[in-house]
Amino acid sequence: MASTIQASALEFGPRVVKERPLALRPVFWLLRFARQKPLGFVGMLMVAGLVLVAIFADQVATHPVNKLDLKHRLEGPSARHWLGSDATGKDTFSRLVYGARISMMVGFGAVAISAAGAATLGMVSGFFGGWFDKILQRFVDAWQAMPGLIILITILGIVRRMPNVNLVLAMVIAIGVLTIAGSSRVIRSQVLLVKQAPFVEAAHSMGAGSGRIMLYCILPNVFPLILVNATVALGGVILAEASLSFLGFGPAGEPSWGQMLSVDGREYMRKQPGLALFPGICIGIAVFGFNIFGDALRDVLDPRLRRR
Amino acid sequence: MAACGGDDDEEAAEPTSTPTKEEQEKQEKKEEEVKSILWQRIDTTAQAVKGGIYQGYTTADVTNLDPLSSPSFTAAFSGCWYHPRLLTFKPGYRDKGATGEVQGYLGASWQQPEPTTLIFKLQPNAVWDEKLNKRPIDADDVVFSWNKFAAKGISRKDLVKLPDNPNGAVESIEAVDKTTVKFKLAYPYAPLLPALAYSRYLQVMPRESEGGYDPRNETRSGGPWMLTDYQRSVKFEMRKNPNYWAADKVYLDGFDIPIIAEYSASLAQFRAKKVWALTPRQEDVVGLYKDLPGALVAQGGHTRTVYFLFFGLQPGSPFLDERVRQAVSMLIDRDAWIDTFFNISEFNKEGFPTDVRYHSHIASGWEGTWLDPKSPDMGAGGKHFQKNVAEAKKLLEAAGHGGGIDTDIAWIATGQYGTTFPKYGELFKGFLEESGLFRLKLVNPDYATDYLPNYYRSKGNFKGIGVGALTTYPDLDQFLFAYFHSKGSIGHASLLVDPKSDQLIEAQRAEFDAGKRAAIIKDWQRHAAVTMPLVPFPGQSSAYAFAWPWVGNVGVFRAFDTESARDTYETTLWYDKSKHTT
Amino acid sequence: MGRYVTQRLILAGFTLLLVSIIVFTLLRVIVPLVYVDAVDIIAGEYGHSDPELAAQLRDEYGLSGNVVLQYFEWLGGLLRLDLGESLFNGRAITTEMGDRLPVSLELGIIGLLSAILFSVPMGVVAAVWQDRWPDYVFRTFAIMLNSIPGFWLAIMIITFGSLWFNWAPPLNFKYLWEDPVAHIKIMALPALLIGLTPSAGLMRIVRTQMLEVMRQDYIRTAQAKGLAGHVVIFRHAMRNALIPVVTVIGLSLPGLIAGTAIFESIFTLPGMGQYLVSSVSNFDYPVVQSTNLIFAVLIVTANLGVDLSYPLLDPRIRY
Repeated sequence: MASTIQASALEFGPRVVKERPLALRPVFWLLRFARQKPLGFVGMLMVAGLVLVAIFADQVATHPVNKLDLKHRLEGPSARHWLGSDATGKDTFSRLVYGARISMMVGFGAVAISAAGAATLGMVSGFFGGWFDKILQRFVDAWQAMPGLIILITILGIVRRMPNVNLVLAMVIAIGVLTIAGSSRVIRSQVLLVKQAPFVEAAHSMGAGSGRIMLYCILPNVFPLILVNATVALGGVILAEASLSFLGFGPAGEPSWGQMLSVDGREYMRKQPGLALFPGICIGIAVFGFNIFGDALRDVLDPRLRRR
Repeated sequence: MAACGGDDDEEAAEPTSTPTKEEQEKQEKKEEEVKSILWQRIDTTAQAVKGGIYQGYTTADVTNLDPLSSPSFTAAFSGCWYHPRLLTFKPGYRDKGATGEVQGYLGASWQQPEPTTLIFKLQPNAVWDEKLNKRPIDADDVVFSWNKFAAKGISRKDLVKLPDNPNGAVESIEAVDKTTVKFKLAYPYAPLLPALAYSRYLQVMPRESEGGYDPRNETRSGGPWMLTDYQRSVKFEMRKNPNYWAADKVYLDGFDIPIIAEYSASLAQFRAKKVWALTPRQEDVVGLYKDLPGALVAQGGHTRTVYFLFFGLQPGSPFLDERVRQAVSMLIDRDAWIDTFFNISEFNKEGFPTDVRYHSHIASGWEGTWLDPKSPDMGAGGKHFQKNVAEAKKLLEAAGHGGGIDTDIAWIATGQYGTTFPKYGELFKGFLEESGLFRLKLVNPDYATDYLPNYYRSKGNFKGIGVGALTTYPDLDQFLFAYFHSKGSIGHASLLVDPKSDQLIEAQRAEFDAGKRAAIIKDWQRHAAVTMPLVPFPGQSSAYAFAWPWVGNVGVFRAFDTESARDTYETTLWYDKSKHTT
Repeated sequence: MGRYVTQRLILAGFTLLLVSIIVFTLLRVIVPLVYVDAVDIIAGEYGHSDPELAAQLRDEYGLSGNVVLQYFEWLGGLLRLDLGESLFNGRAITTEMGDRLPVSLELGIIGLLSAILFSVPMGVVAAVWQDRWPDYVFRTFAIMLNSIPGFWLAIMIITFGSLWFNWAPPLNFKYLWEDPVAHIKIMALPALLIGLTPSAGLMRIVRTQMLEVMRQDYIRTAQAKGLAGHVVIFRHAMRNALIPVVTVIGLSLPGLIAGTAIFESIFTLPGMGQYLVSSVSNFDYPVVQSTNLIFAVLIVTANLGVDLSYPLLDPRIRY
């Protein structure tokens, strides 16, 4: 048990026999990952592709995101508009590319908030234990009992009425904060295990402070778990954004996939099916990619599963 | 709800020059083609039989059921099924749309002994439904309803003279006897009759709605239909009111009106023949027409609603200069805009007739009063309705803005005002920026708490350009006064001192002769085309609607608006079982 | 056991109280402080910036006075099962919920049943043929299901069902007790669609649990005794594997019910989610507070139910 716990985050599988040069380690890690988890590797490539598209959206897009082209509206795929155009002639491909940016921003942003919050909460609660833990956990109970989508609708329904609010940011924060409680539970239980490991006791006896122990002994050992949780959650967040947009609570005017699907896609799909099809496919690809990548990552990183 | 109902078109005048023989043949061929596409609006009243439940639908629920106090118009829309009004609009017939003329409804007859007094005699056999034991609808009900409207009605300022609305025309109303009501006016006011036919002003409700039952959730009917079932967010069920005084002239037994919010679902329902009429997105018309050869297709009329670009007129604003406003108007590509929202190029390609008209400062649907901006009759201002970037640039240079203008543009981009509205704004922003003369920053205000108070009703006290929507009006007067008179309740341009405009608006409301009144309003349009206080939206073409052939008399008796359709159009529909195919 | 149940009930009450306080504070304190309240919106739609009208409306709606006191008033009403009334149509929310809760619950439950129907066989098959093609096919399929937005699928079905088969979802909602056949026709498709997304997660858990159980000694013993494969799988493995699955099912029910909001608006079903969606934009406080609370009650009840059912499912667990 203890040995697996001490293993660093990025090692797994059969123990490495030969020491590799430090710079090349990630490459070997990737190769091994590709061999052991081909499906997960495909997912990783999809995710990486999306992230690259999101970062280099300005270079990838063929048209400015809000450029109207009234002479070529509601057209199918062509050399001019690779994936066709919407009701005011905006280029579907370019909007999907910028949509990737929004989806990734919402996804990574919310998950970052959620992961950071959950890690802090889970570690503090698990590490200190006792009455503090008991009381904190009751609040986590209540937090978890908040009906997720319902609260999101409530919050965004109100927030979107406020002037000068960045709805993408509001959505990121709302989703992020709401999902803290659930993943903090998992991390807390892992912390409870790690806390009893000999090296933590050793650190204690050497006079290390609580903060120091949490940062240097516990965090590295729960980090894989945090990473796995975050990856698995990403797909869900992207779906949540799409659902909220569909209900009319999304960031209006932004080329988010959910927004494209639920405004022009929904209204003009008989005339131009691509308007509903392509954003739907993009959402599907993103969620699919994160899901299979997350699953594979869980298999190789989650210390609780590694025994199998 | 029933398509082809609320429309008001009149065919555009034929070209006057004599065509050559070839052109004539071409014209005839085209007309024949058009005839084969369009439903001929055949009057089948002679064959009409009673019975049948019409299968309609609506897209949204109502906020509540009380038209006289609800903050939203939705209650007024549903109220017209069961609440009578003193007057109603005379329907048009077949190719001739309604003109806005009024006819009696609950008010059986009326007279105006002097310009500031109007006396109504009520229908002698008008009664409320069984829930009120068929009590006669009396003058006290009318007075009660008016007083409630005057105190709580959302549109009260259009009509009622109040301490905070000194320009209102109606001073008071009283019950002379059980069947007579008298309106006392503050000044001679020609447009009062259409106002009393209008859904959003005076719907007559029983006195019992205060204290007797909760009008937000229950209804009592005095009109042709009764609300027999209402499931919030699911459906309305209207049934014929047997106690309606003209019930013998009503053919259908009722209407089922489920709420279908999802557009694709409403299309599916129409295709499956579970919904009998539909006004689809115009982009889907050609496809549906080819798919559903059995369905009837008709063109509605031009609407009487025009939206505007309105301007921030704070001190120092560039829009205080009329040359800048003219330039804005001249940067708009009206044809491209109309093509985008009315699907003109596809209709032309497929041989579907279109009837594009530009709006002047009044909507192109106001037949007889609307002045075509393209016609020479518009005078000097006509050129402002043509796209001319070079001219606009000169105007801006002359106004001292040769380097272009940096400012804001505001519209409601959230779905709160529908999904088409943001597209309107997008296009305007595109046109203005394309010229290089404007650099615009988009603001997305909230509808009720930001857009309405800080832009729409701020009387010009904001920065930049607002893209505005408005409600329809029963008569041009309420519209002209509210929007263009310096004392109007909206008064977008009231900071631009324009005594001539005020004077023309005041002149038309006191003019009882229809022809003379139209001439004054035309004068006003010529004036507004030059001063361009607001820039009207480009224009429109009639929308296509579909119906299944078993809806007898569909599109024949053409109501002036959707609400007056309840008593002038939907009562004329009948269910032709023999034509009902599955 | 009794002591445990009491403890859990107290905790559940505490949780609900906390949820109600959070929602109330957000709606009635924070938002009006940084922005506006319901009355400002109504007054805005009337188009008058009329402080007198606003004050009058506030009195009429019971929104004036001490906010803390109002919270306790609302709480008091709650104890009498009176959720107050909608600001916009004056209807009693308790009545409205009585009509709407069954619809959402039913959608959620049928959705869950269909999810189980999809996922358990797939999970079992995938586990039995671990790392062979049925495993890969089902797992990929499950993840794909999980990746498609349900509402997108619903609209595709409506559109192409109409284009290809001239089919349209049934109209005119009927309650089960009014017209069972019509009711089932209306509910079937949305409920099935609701079940699709969670079935993916469920399938993966079933698979993992089956794998776990099948490695246990008693299964190996059974196999060694020469019992037929299906007997081992159905009688021994599945029964034990499904205990944790029950937990997951219990816990996913509330989420499912919340997720019905989308399908309720596509298929015009008078459920709770749709009630919230149509009320929140108006800031219809009592409705928003009540829907949030009722969803929280569902979640807490499900948690409680799952925990209390452990001893019934697995005799080794005792409280």
